[in-house]
Amino acid sequence: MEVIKAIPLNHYILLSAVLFAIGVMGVLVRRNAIIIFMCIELMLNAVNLLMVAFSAHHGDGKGQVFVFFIMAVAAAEVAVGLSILIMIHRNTETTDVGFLNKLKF
Amino acid sequence: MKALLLVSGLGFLGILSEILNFKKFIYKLSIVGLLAAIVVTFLEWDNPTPAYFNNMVYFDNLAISFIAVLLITGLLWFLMAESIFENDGLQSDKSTLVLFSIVGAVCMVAYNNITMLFIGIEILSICMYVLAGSKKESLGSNESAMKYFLMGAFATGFLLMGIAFIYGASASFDVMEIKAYMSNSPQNIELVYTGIILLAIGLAFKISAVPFHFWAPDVYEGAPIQVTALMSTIVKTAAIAAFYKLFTVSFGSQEIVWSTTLSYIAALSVLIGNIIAVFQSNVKRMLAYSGISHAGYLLLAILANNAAGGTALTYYTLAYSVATIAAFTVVANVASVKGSSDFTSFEGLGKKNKLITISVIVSMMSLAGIPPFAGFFGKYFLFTSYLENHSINLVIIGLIGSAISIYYYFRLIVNLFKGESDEVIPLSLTSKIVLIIAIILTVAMGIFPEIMNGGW
Repeated sequence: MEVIKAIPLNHYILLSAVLFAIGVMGVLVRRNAIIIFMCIELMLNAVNLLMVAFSAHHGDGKGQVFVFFIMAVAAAEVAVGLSILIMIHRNTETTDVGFLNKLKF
Repeated sequence: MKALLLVSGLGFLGILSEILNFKKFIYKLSIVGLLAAIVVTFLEWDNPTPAYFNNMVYFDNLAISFIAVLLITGLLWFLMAESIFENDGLQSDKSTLVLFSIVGAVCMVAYNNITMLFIGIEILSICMYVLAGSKKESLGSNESAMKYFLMGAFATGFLLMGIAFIYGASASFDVMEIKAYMSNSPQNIELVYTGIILLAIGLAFKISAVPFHFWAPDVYEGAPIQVTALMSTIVKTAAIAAFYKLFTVSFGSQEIVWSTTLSYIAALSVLIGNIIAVFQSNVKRMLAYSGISHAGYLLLAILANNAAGGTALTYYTLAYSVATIAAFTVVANVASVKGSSDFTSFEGLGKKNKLITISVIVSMMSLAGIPPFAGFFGKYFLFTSYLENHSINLVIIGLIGSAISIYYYFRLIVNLFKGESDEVIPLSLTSKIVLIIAIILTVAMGIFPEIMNGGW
């Protein structure tokens, strides 16, 4: 608690914002589905870091409990996402999102 | 509250049926269970102690109306989707996923703590990702699941970032505590602004409002038709109800921060959704774009920022969901015979298929907002609630969009009477029941709009 508070809150906000932005850019720019999953995880971890920092600075535990929920849900989400990816890999032999172009108007 | 437990119990029953080997009955059990849940929901009207689980959920009358809308839609959906519950060994998986997605939707409309909102959204979304990909061998379904997953997870990131900022400013996840914090000139106003806008982005993704709509048409087209029906009704209703509660209750006093952004999102959704829908040749895609434009109309209720907006929203979501379910029932049946859901598949069906013709006419007119059907009064209530304390500009855009929408909704009706065809589309008993209930509900809600507005 005290160690976290030794660093000003602004630094945590900046670090989280940068991590989040890197995640967003990765999702938008990268073409491999697995890398995109990792970038989404990066976004969620930026949120986790921010939650923990705020929680320590406010001196209440709610934020840290929320982080546990985010971790559990992110794990469930990635499990579903990877199984969708495996299903697609069986049919198309690729993990590149470039194949997502069959449906167009 | 009891409805939430009952539907969760039904979901667990679906899992148990796998072990205890009564999968054959799970379809009928789900329908009976949902009927019971609807009855139980109405018994909780005017609940004197609406808060449960340390204020995590809050079942006031507005939440109960939304739960009733969700459960009625869910029941109609189960009736229309009988064909995907045939005895193939996977029927209990599908019913469990759908029931748990309804549980998530109920959490989303009855939350009183942002933690619950987040969990509800994720329960709903994760089930929907799996359902969208439930046709494992079809590339369209694969692509739809992948796009839905990527966009949904991306939107969740924004939503969570917004929640983190709001928590950082207000030190609370409770809707009422955030409301108290917002109403007396908050400190850390930068965190509040960023948080509100990020939350708006995350939720706009979920209701597929422009400019966060790009995933919707592809996902709707690729997913199995029954799942598309679920996405465009239950998911949209739950997301807009969550949006409404968060923005009018928690952030209602900070209207100045979000009203301009949301006004533009609403206007763009109405215009772009309706204009692009005109150029579609596939009925599923047309309904996807019409869903985008309806998201724009629904945002007016949030912009209204008053209690009348909430009642208008329940009325509109019920009218929209019932008409959409009827439309998808017809599309599913026609597509299963003709093999495609293009407009051309509907040509000439008007001669021999009375029930299909009537339900297409009623549901399309209701979606277009033509009296005396329910859709007209839905739009009327939305516009009047918005005009209570706002200028008329957005309503004019809404009316222009409505006028455009008549073109593509009537194109489907015209197609039914174009050309000669003696083909008869066979309808199962449950499809007939859905269509008849949908017609009765749409007409009854249009003739007696006070049923929901005054009596409730």
